Amino acid sequence: MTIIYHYDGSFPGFLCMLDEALHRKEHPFAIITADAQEVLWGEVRVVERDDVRALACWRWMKAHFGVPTVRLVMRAFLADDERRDLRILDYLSFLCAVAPHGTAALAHPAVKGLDDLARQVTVEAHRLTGLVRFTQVRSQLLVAPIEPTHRVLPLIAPHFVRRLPGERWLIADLRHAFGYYWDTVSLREVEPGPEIAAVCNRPCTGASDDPYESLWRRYVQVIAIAERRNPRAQRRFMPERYWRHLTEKR
Amino acid sequence: MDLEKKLAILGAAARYDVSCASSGSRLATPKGGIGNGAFPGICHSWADDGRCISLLKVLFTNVCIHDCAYCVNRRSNDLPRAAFTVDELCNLTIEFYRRNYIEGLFLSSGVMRSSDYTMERMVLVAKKLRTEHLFGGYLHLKAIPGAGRGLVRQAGLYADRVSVNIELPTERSLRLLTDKKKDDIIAPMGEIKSAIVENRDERKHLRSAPRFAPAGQSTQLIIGATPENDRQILTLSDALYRRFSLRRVYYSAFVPVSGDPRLPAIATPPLLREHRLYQADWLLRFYGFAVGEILGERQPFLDEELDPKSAWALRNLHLFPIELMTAPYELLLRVPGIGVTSARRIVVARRHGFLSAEDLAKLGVVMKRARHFLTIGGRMALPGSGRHLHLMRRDLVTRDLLAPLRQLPLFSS
Ligand code: SF4
Repeated sequence: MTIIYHYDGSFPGFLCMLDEALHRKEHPFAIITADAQEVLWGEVRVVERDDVRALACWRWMKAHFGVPTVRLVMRAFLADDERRDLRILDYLSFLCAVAPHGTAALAHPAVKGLDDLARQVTVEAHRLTGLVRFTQVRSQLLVAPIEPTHRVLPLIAPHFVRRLPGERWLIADLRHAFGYYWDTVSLREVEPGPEIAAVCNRPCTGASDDPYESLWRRYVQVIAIAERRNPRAQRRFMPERYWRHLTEKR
Repeated sequence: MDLEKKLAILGAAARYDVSCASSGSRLATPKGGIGNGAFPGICHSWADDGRCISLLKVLFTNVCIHDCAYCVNRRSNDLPRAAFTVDELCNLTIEFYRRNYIEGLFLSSGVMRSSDYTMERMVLVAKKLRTEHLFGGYLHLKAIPGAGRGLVRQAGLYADRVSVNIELPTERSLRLLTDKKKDDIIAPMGEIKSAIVENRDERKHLRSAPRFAPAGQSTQLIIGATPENDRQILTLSDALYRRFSLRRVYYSAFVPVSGDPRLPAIATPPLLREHRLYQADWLLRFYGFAVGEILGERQPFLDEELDPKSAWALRNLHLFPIELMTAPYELLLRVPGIGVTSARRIVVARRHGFLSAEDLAKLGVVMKRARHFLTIGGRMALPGSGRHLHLMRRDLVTRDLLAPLRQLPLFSS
């Protein structure tokens, strides 16, 4: 019998789903979320989101698998990967079956696969801490659109809270359609609004309201040593998919 | 002169300084202020030459009373000159930082009027950033050769890192190419070192004592402007790491910036040589190698085709193959194809049982290279490995790297 799990797509919902599958020791054929309700065959197990259960599962996972594993799962959950949920479940089932603290069995495909996925998220998050570009729009508000492959914004927002605590800023992930707004006191999840649209639609070159943008562009030009031109290295470190939102590359 | 023009002149003038490290120190943002350090460091962009941009790297001024042959800013060179004001530079740093362009400021300078006069201005920039703008980001100041001890000490109080560029590896070359004196360079280095040591001591007794240059000091050597060989250069670096507790020595391939007859006529900067020196430097700092192991008495230059570790391994084949399952960490590190990360992973993973060649590849080992030097349970990691020298060599040569970095012979005369 083909079993399909269904949850609402949220992280608490995801934890409840894990709880259910791990305790039933089931290996579903697919895991689907609220926004994927196509025609399906097989038995669908709908796991309702229950925050109390999610919290309990979270604590159990921490105690049972250890903090590094839980961290890994959380990072992997932010990955933009079709088989993400199944891979996380595979990984945890493997740990349950073999050894809960067996994370060092790095050579096993289930472990290695998830480790790689989580690493991709970590690497992109780190990269983005450098590549986010704020533009100053009306009255000191700083706005930055991003389009990362993975949903790294929850990972990088705290970095900017620590770094720019006295500024009002908004970072919006256009690809996954959500953003964070910091008002110098608290951080809120928001939907990208008109500020973001304005920043994205600004002219590509020259005339910008923010005078520091042209200064920055000029600086990036002059700092390169012409005799050492190396566009290949530049693209390897800073892939072109990020250039759209880089002040110096627009 | 408008700010953009100044920035263009003083940014261009600073581009030959290679340090871009920004990791490591004040991790908390000052209360009511802006900015913190990050570990590991953050790159914000990559310039057209493929180098990371992490800091706003500028000169305070490119006016200079000296006439160093290898330097664009030398007095006798005819080029537009500019100088920032202290406030201009502070604002620029803060505004760039707010927009997440940079991790902080890397400030160097030509010598305007006198060493002390220049150093004073630079220290003032650092002081204002820290005390008025409550800036917690990264600050790296170049100490001006010949600047007074008090100023050097003050610089370290505000900056994360203070450095002095040695530029040329021997006194002979210094005498030939500049009017600066060796002692003027060495004195600030000694001063920084002793201040760091004293400070460490102070902080043992008093946790709240201010930190002095918490990210340490570094220096830069120009490669290929003078006839020193790689062994001389690495010996110097090694001594600097020991004597002055330097964090980093940077190597900068000489870019011809003048037609001065005392300088070699080269068509392109010796990038491959620079690359090999960095690799050798890593071996010194993280792999437990001694200079004498990397370069023997009769071997003044690093191999162009082989990275220094592979070259060492081929010279010491009697030590190989080693047994993967039992070899100590230090020995694993010496195997070509195994780096610090993969060596650490091996040590952890082998506790859980035998590792196959495939497992090793998953742990990040470059098997093409490592296979010639490893046994697993007494057998070669991959069949047919480790027998013929020419095959080993073939697997160890880094061909894709050689093409773009290969250079013409350095000294034409
Ligand atoms: S003192 Fe420094 S800036 Fe002046 S010419 Fe010499 S190297 Fe260049």
